[in-house]
Amino acid sequence: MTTRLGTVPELDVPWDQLSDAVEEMSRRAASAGSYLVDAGAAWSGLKDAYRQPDTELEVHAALTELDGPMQEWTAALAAARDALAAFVSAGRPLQAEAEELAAARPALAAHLATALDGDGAQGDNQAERALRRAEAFNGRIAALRADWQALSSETSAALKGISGGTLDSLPATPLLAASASLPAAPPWASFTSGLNERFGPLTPESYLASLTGLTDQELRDWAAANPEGAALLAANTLPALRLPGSAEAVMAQAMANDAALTEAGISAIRDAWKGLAPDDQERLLLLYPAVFGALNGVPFANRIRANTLTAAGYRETVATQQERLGAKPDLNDYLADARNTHGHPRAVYQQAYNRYTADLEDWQAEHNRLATLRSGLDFAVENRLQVVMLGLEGDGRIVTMDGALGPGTRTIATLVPGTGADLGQLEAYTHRLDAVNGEPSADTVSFYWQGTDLPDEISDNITASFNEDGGPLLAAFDHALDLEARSDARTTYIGYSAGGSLLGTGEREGLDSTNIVYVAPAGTGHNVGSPADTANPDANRYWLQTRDDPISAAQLLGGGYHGSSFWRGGSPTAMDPVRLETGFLAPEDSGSLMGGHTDYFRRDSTSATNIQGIIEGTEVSPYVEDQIHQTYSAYGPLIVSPLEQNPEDYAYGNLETVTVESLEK
Amino acid sequence: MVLVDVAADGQSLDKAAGDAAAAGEQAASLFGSAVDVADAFAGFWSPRRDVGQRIAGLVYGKSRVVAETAELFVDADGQMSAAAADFAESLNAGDAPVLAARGFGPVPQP
Repeated sequence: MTTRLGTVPELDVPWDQLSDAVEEMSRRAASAGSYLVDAGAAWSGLKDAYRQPDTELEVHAALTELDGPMQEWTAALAAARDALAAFVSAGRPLQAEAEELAAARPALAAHLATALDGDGAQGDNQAERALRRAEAFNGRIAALRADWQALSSETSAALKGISGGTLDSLPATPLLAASASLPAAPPWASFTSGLNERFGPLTPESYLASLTGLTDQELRDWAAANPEGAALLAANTLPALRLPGSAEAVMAQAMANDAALTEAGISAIRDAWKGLAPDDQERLLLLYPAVFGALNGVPFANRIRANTLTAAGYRETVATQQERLGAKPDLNDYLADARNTHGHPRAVYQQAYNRYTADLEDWQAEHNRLATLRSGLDFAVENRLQVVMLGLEGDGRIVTMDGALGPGTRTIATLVPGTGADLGQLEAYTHRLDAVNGEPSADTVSFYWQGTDLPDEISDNITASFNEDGGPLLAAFDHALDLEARSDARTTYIGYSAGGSLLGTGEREGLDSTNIVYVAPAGTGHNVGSPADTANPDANRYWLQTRDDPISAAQLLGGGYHGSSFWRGGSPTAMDPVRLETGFLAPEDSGSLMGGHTDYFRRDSTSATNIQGIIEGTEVSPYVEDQIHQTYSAYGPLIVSPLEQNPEDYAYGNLETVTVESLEK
Repeated sequence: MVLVDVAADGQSLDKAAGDAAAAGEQAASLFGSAVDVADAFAGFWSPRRDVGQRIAGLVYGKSRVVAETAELFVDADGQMSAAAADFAESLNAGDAPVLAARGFGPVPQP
C-alpha cells in the first residue's frame, strides 16, 4: 500500500491590510453620509433665503433626493464590511493551519519515504506508523480545503446578496441638474470666491456660526473650501472699541505693553485665557486666528487650531498678492511712454530706462519674496503642519510643532535654524528636524522655531540686530513652553549656524533648557562669553562642527555681534561644550567623511545620530581629537586628524561611544 | 451665508467619499489567493465605487445652480427682495429658457 502526502493549498491573504482597508472604506462612507446630513441642514437655510414662487419648491427640496441613495450606499458598504470582517476572522486561522501544514510537510515526506524503504518486522511497524501520520496529515489538508471552500462560497454569496447603493439608485433626472457637466473634483474654493463677487463680501462675524463646533479636520476642510473667508479671518485684529468685560477686552488688557514677551506677562495672558468661558475661547480663536494663534500664553493646542485658519488664509492672501503683482515690467512699455513725452530725446529715454530698471528691481524683489512665502505656506497647509506661530513680515516667520504636547511629554527638542532660513526653507528644515527627533508622539515632541527674521546671506550677518531682535522672541517662546511642559521634561535646543548665536542671545534673555547643542554656530550669543552670561548656566552643552566648516571664520571675526566682544570672538569653546564627532555622512562608508557647513542633519549620519542621542539621552560619539606631532621644521608642530588620516578605523560602527549620562553635569 | 456652509460640508463630503473610494479600491487588491471572494467583491464594488463622489458632485452642481439663479433674484445681502420677485415675474414671461437651462423643470407661464 502506498500513501502520498497531499498538496497543501496555498492561502495567501494579507488579512491585516484587508481588514484595515475595508474598515476604512465603510468608516469614511459613513462620514460622507453624515456630511450630507450636515449639508442638508445648512441647505434648509435656503427656505428663508431663497424666495421665488416658481422655483423655490424645487430649490428647497433639491438635496433631499440624495438622502436615500446615500443611506443605501453607506448601508451596502457597511454590509460588505461585516461580511469581510467575518471572512477575515475565519480565514486567518485557516491560513495559519495551511502554513503549519506546509512547514511540516517536507519532514513528514522524508520520514515516510525512509519508513517505507525499511525491511523486516521493525520496518513494517515504522511504515505503519508513518502511514497513519500521513493519513492524518492528508485528513487535515482535506478539512482545510473544505473549510476554505465553504468560507469562500459563504463570503462570496454574502457579497453578492447585498443590494442597493449602486449608481442606479441615484435620481435619473436630478433636480437642479446643471446643464454643464460636473467637474471630477468639485471646486468649492472657486465656487465660494464667486459668492463674494455675486453677493458682496462677508464680514468675519458672518462666518462665525459656520465655524463654531467644527472638528480640527472639518475646520481644515472649511478653510480649503473658503480660502477668502480664511484670509478675511487671518487678517482680522482685535477691535479698537471693545465692550468692557468682553473676552476681547479681557485679552487686550492682558496683552498690553508687549506682555507676550516677558515671563510674567505670558503667565498673566495664560491666566486671563483660562478665565474665559470655553465658548469665548473658541470664538476668539476662530475670529482672530492670527492674533491668538501666535500669542504666547495661549495653550499650543488652541494656537494650532486657530492657525489652521491662519495658514490657509495667509496662503490665499499671498496668492492674491502674487496675482496683483502682475507680469514683469517690459522695457518696451517704458520706451513707448518716452516717445510720447516732450523733452530732449536722449534725456527722456534715459529717464525711462532708469524707471524701468528701478521698477524691475522692485518687481523682482517682491516676486521672490512672495514666492518664498507661498512655498512655505503651501508646504505647511498641504502637509497639515501644526503651526504655533505664523507671520508674513519680511521673508515670513513660522514656528511648528511635531507630536502632541501634554503631561506625558518627556522629551522636547527645538531646532533654531540658521542663515537663509525663511518660509521658503520650511520643508528643508522640517526634514532636517525629522532626521534627529525620532518618531513624534505624546512622549516626544519637537519644534521648529523660525519665529524671527534670520539673515538671508552669511554676509548679511555682520550685525547684532538679528540676535537682538530674535533673542527675546525665542526666550518668550521658551517661557510659554515652560508653562505647558512638565518640569522634569528633558529639553534640548539646537542652534544651527546663525541660529547658534540667536539661541545664545535667547539664553541671555531667560531661555533655559536641559541641553544646548551648538551646530556650527555663528557664535555663542550677543554679549554672551560664558555660561554665566546666560539664564541657563547649568545646561549641558554640546558642539558639533566639521573640521573644515567655513563658519569658523565667522566665529573668529564676528565676535562683536555674535559673541561676548570683538576681541574674544564667538567660538563655542568659551561655553565649555563637549565636542561631538560629525564623522560620516554614512557610517558604513569610510569615504563619506562629513565636511562643510550643510550636512549636519543628514539622516543616519554620525552627526544626526549624535544630536538624536543628546535629545533622547542615549549614547553619543565624542570628537576624535587631533594629534599634534612636534617637528623641527620652520612650520611648527604638525597637526593631523586620525579620523581624516585613517577613516576606515572609525567607520563601520567603530567610533567610540559613551553614554550621554556620563557627560552630564 | 447658507451656501458657504453648504460649501464647507460639500468639501468634507467630497473628501470622505474620495477616501472611501480609495479604500475600497485598495481592498479590491488585497484578496491574495482568495480569488472567488475577490471576484465577488469586484462585482459588489464596481457599481458602487463612484456613488459617494457622484453625490458630492451633485451637491456641488445644485449649489452652483442655486447661486447662479439666486443671482438673478437677490439683492446684495442675500435676501430675496420684493423687487427681485417682481423681476422674476417678468423674467418668467419671456425667459423661461434661462431657468430651464439652469436645471429647473418647466416654468409655468403667468
